[in-house]
Parts: sequence; C-alpha cells; structure tokens
Amino acid sequence: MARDSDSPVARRPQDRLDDHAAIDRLTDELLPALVAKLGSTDLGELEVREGTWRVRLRMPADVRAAGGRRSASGRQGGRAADAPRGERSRTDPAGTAGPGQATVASGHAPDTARPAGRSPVVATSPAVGYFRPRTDLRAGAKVRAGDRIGSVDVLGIGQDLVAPGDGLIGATLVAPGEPVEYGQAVIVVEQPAAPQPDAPSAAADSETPAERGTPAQSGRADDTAADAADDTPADTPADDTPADAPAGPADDAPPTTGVA
Amino acid sequence: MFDRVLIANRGEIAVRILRACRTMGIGAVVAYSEADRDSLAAQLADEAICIGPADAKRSYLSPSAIISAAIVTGCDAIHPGYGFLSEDGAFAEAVAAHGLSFIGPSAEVLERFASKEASRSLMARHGLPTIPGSEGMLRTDEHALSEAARVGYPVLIKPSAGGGGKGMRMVRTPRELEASLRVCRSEARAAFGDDSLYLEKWLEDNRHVEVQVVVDRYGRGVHLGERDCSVQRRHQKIVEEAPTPALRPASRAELCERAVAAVVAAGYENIGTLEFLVDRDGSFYFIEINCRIQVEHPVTEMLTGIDLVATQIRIAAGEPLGFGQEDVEFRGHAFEFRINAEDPAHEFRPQAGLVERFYAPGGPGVRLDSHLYAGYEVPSFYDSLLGKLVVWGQDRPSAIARSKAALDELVVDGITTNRSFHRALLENAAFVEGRVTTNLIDRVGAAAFLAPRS
Repeated sequence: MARDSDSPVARRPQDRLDDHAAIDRLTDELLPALVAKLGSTDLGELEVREGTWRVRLRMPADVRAAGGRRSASGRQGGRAADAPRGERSRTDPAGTAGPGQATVASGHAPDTARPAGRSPVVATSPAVGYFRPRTDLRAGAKVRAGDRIGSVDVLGIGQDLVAPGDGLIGATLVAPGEPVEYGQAVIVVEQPAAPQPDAPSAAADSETPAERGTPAQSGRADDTAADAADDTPADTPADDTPADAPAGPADDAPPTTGVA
Repeated sequence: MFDRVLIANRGEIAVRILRACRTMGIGAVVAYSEADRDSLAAQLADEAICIGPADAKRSYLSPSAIISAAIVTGCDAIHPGYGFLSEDGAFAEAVAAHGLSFIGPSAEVLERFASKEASRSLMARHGLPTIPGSEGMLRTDEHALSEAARVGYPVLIKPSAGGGGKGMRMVRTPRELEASLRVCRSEARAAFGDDSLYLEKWLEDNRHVEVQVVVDRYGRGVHLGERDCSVQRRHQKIVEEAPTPALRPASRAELCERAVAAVVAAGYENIGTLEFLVDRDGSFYFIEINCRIQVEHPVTEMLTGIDLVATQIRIAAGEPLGFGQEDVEFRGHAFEFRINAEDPAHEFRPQAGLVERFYAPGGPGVRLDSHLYAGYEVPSFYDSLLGKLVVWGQDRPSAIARSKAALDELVVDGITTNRSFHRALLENAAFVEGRVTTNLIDRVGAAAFLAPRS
C-alpha cells in the first residue's frame, strides 16, 4: 500500500487544516464551499453567520439571469490557477480515461465555458477490487489533484484512488468494502467555484472578523460550510454545530453526502 | 460443477463461452476492457465488469485484474478463451492459488507444453514424427547457421512462445537466415516477451492439418477428428475445414489415433489441438500443441455434434469425459470462414469503425459465431476477427454451395471485411479441388483471388 509520502505531489490537507489559523480555513475552504453552494443553487445571495463573524455572498444579477452560468475564464484573482489544475487532472495517469474520467474531461474540457461552482470531478477506481476509504478524510476536506483519497484493494494490495482535481471531498458513492470496477465513480470532488466579481468583496467582509481570531471556531469550517449551505442562508445553523475536531470518530461511517 | 464463470476474453469467443454457460445452467460474468463496454458479450452477460483500460496489458492480459474481478463477482472459475492468458501457466497457477478453477489444462501441464521446442521433443518421445529441426533453442547466429546447414535449407525460423505467425520466417539461404534472426527475435520479444527461437526444415507445398483431442483428468482421451487449416495468409489461418481433403480416410484415422495416444501418454489434460504439417506424399509431422479452445473449434462441433466449450468446462470441473472414441461419429463436411475487419484490396489492412448494418445468414447447416450487431463500433485495439461463418453440408460440394449462398447473404455495412476474398476463394480451382497448400495465397498474391472472374 502506497503511503502518502510515496507520492511527491501528495499533501495532507488534514494536517494543514489542523495547523492553520482560522483565517486560512475561512478563505481556503469555507469560502470556496459557499461559493460552490451558491453556484449550484438558484439563490441570489448566501449569508452565513457564526459567532462574531459573518460571510455573505451574492450572485451578480447578470449571472443569475443566465442560470448561474459564468465563464470561468472571466475569473479574476487568486483562483485562476484552477484551470491548469483541471487540465492536469485529465492527464493524470491514475485516472486513465475511465468513464468517470470521461465525465471529468467533459466537465472540464470546455473549462472556459463552464458554469462556476458546478463542476464536480469524480475520482474513479484505478482497478477492479474492493473500495477502502481513507478514514481520516471526511466530506468537505480540501484535496489537491493527485492526493490519495482512498484505495482499491486488488488481491490484498491497495491501489491509490486519487483526486482528479483540486477541490473539496464530496459525496462518496460506494460503501466501504464494496466491490468496484475499473473506472467506476467512487468519490466526488467538488470543484471550488470561481469567485464572482462580488466574491472578493464578500471575502473581504469576512476577513475582518476572522482576523480578529476566533479560535473556538477552528476546525469547524467544513462542517459549518456543509450545514450552513444546506440550510436557509439566513439561518445560522453553525451555532448548533459542535466545534469538533476535523478528523473525528464519525469517519467510521464515511460520508455518503458531500458539502453540496 | 461451477456456479459462476468469469469470461476473461472478448469478441466472438466471449459470446460463445457465454452460450455454453447458459446451456449448462452456469452463471456467466463477462470481464471487459473499457474499449469493450458496448460489446455484445457484456450486454448479454448475467453481469459484466470493467477490468481495465483498452490496453490489453492492463485488462485482458492482467492476471491480477482478472482474478480480482472473479473474486469480487463471486465466480468460482475463469474461462480464458483463446489468445491473451489462455496458455499462461503462471496465470493458471495464480488462479488456482486464489481458490478458483482455471478452465483449461493445469498450470503444471501448461508449463510442460509451454515451449514449442520442448513439446516437440516430448511428443517425439511418445511416438509422433517431427520435422527435422534444431536441437534446442538457437543460442547464437553461428549456432543457427550450423543447425540450418545440418537440417538443410529452406528452413523456417520459429519463436518458442506464442503463435499467429509472429516472429516466423522462412529463409532459403544462410544470408537470409542471418538477416532474419534479428527481426524474428524482436518480433517475438514484442509479441510474447520471449525471444527464443528455433528452426525447422521447411516443407514445400505443405498442408496444415490439426487434430482435436479431449482428455479428462483421469487419463481418458478421445480425438474428435482433424481440421485442415491450409488456407493461410502470412501464417494466419483464414479458412478451416474438416475432414481434410489432403488425406485418405485410413491416413486420417491413423493420424488422429496416434495423436491422441501420444498426448494421453504425455499426461495432457483438458481439450487441446495438435498441429501437423502434411507433405506432398501424405507424411505428417507434429509441429506444436495448442492448450486451449481454438478459433476454428466449430468446424469439429458441426461434424461431431459435441459442444467443445461445454466439454472443456466439464473437464475443468473434474468430471469424467463420459464418452469413448466409439461414441464419436463424424458426419458430413464443414467449413469455417473467418470474417475479419480487414481490406483484402489493400494488403488486408485492419479496419475499425461503426457497423451500420448487420445481417447474419441462415438456413440449414449455417452458423455464424459473431459479436457483431448494427450500431456496434469495432474498436481498433484488438485483433480483426468479427465472426466465423461455419457451414455444414453432407459432402464437400454441398458445403461449398451452401457457403457461397451464406457469404452472399452476409451483410456487414460500414466496415470493410474480407468477405469478398472468401467468396472469390470459393471459385478458385485449387480450393474447389482441395489442393490448397499453406503457401498458396502468399505465393500467388491475394489480388489473384480478387480479380474479376471471366
């Protein structure tokens, strides 16, 4: 079984998560998740409040009119690197043009004409065998292309299931220990949505309170994102969410639903 | 008997094995590569499972992918078909090591017959005549030259592993031999991962005649007659028939009886085919044994009424043969025409593409084993066999007449096939008179068969 360290490109999002300050979590995970959620709904605005901070995202009116679709090439700023990463995921040797990979490709190929926040990619099985999830990864965890996000047991030897692109762990489509065939879709990786023209300002709004430091909220980002996004935007369900550790025991029952 | 069989092959043979499983009440799972997702076998199977990408090395040639597929689908046996891993002793051993049955000879038997050169000397010890050839493998060019001089030119260079004419070359002079050795080695290495070569004396105007044998685990064996596979192009069989027009009935009986006696004595098991060359005088020489079901097995099924694939499965499951030589009857005459996706007008170039229309011929004595259907996209990754038209008649002339009608009826639109070549062959005097030798098509050229008839 290949360990993470065997893969030069592999990183440990969870490790990073544990070590980073709340501000990083907010900008790296919560915001993209929220942007993705907003992009996948018909909502015009999404607001999440928790404790002392508040995040509000607004879909530009012209984009809403076009059914939430927006050219990814129109993005400005920090997330522009997503396109080349999507490019790389298509040629990832471990993905090898499976049917799931075809979905990935078609989801990505017209990258410049893709709706923002609506481009989940799917990690497909590299072999025929039994699916073994990575128990330390849960829905909402941030992964990068090439990260090992699970494995497939082939006659007792694990073959890496790798993230086909950068994003957040979404739905796991196969129960642990179940057989998978080559190319079968196993784990959805939600693509971080393209920040809308409004998004930077939304991020700016949120940065200020986050910067003040609210350590109690640490590690809650993904759960909060998931829960908040699933609820009425104006609500603050995050308050009900205990500030549990990111890699909790709940991983024994791997997620079957994702952030979206 | 097995509950569930994994079919680790593709194309028409996957469909053929599926049919055998159905008639025996055995569940069938088809293992397919991504390129074969829409294959007929995958559609007809009880269950189908994708084992890898189009590249055969990672699918049909991957022991771990196939064995893993058998385990996750709850199969208790694997049928390898022909080609791919069908004669791979290491694979058969791995299958057994995972508690599954390999439908074919045991790993030990496969290893014993893995080398053509070793099988040749083994069968010679058990009384079969063999073609004069090199002692063992060709070690160096000098060794090859001295062995060729001893055997006498022309000689045929042959790879020890594999089949299908790859790495084979007939040479008439020492200079040709020297020039061909390197090419044959690299072809053999590329095709079979083994570049060991040996050589045999080349028999001019020979016929290729093979004997089908069936041997159970308890040492009981019968032959199911012979097949003539002399219609070849570049060592590839195109048309097969039975009985052979090359031998009189008494000689045929002698050939078949000696063949089965020798393999039983050599400890063979399951079904197999012993290939012989027959020279102008009717003398026969053992050349190799194929430890698998063969493409042309339906010819024998038409004459004997015995389902060879079902018999193979029964033997692999440990059942006794259940019939003796005296129970085997041979009726009539049968041909098999390999319908290939290749263009006879352009050097038989392989074709791939969409089958727009497909119509299978029918009528008495006509059988088409094929995986084609209208709308099927023929992938370019594998061999070009699209199907086998098998035609039976009470005698050779009536089988030829039915073959003409059946070939005329066959429709495969959207992709070029060699149908026109077969149709022309049926008008060829050498073929009609049963005089075709293995070198005929290469000598006169395929174009001669395709020329408009006057």
